[in-house]
Amino acid sequence: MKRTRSLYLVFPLGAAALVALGYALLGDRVTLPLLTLENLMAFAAASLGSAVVVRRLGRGDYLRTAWALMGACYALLFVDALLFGASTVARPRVLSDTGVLVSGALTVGANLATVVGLLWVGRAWRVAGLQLGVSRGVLWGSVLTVLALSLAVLGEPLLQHVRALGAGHFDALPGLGSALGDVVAASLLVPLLLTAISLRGGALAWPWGLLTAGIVAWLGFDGIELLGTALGASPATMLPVEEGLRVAACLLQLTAGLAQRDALDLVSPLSSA
Amino acid sequence: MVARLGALLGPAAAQSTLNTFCKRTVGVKPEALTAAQMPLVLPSLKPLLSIMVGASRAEALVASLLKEFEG
Repeated sequence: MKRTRSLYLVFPLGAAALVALGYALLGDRVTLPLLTLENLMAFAAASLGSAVVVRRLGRGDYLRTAWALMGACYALLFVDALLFGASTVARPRVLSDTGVLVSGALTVGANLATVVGLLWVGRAWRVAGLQLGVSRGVLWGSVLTVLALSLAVLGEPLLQHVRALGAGHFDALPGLGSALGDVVAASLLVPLLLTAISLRGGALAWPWGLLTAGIVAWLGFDGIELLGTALGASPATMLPVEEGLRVAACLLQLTAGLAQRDALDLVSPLSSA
Repeated sequence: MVARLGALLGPAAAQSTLNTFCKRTVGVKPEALTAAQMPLVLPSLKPLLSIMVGASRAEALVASLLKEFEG
């Protein structure tokens, strides 16, 4: 079982490294259909991970709502990629006015679903009455510090999206939804990580830990443009890293779901009888 | 009991959870728990376990733990 759980971390990171290497080797030969196929497979895998947990839990179970929302996020991203193709910093999409609105709604809906889902998972310790091993002051201090850091990094792009939207540029909607989602998700890193640490040695530490790693990968993905600018690298140069991080984030969501399933199976009525 | 809960929650969280619930329910440390007090303590874990693994599994786990102690 321990070997399987290690694979839950090794597999997403290994697959992401291979994807990044593949794109780096292909260079200019990377096509939009290839990117779209990769995006669709990644989103489908992430949705599958959530669906596995939703199927295991009963109606009204606390975590079922969280996993259903996270699964809905990836399902919406899948529909977006299916309708409009892959969206990358290196290859911006050119959409019609209607396409911009539909894609914007799908992206905002996806970010909203995952943020609420992660909020649900992030406060499970509190609802359950678990001890995180840190004082309330340390917890909130850490959350606010991460929130301030994420605003320091993402504040400017966030304002740009707001201004563009205010000026009637609806194509700023996906970017705004994504940036807002990142800020909230970043602040959730603290409770998710502390929950994973407090559950260390137990099967439930894995889903929390893998979800935390997934958020880190998404933050890296969304920060790739800023990183590229800071490094003076062209968007095309950053494509392998960008797609590698996307694959890592999606596959970490898949393996988080599988780890959650494994933990649930430890106490299934049949095995515990 | 720590071993059974520890498989899910990890040894540290299982121990601290048991400490909390033993004190809250019967006012003693887990080491001082008597067999007669067990049926009072175990059901108090259900709300926590329900959040972490769902209501039916929490019910099943508590029932199997009770059965082990009775047996």
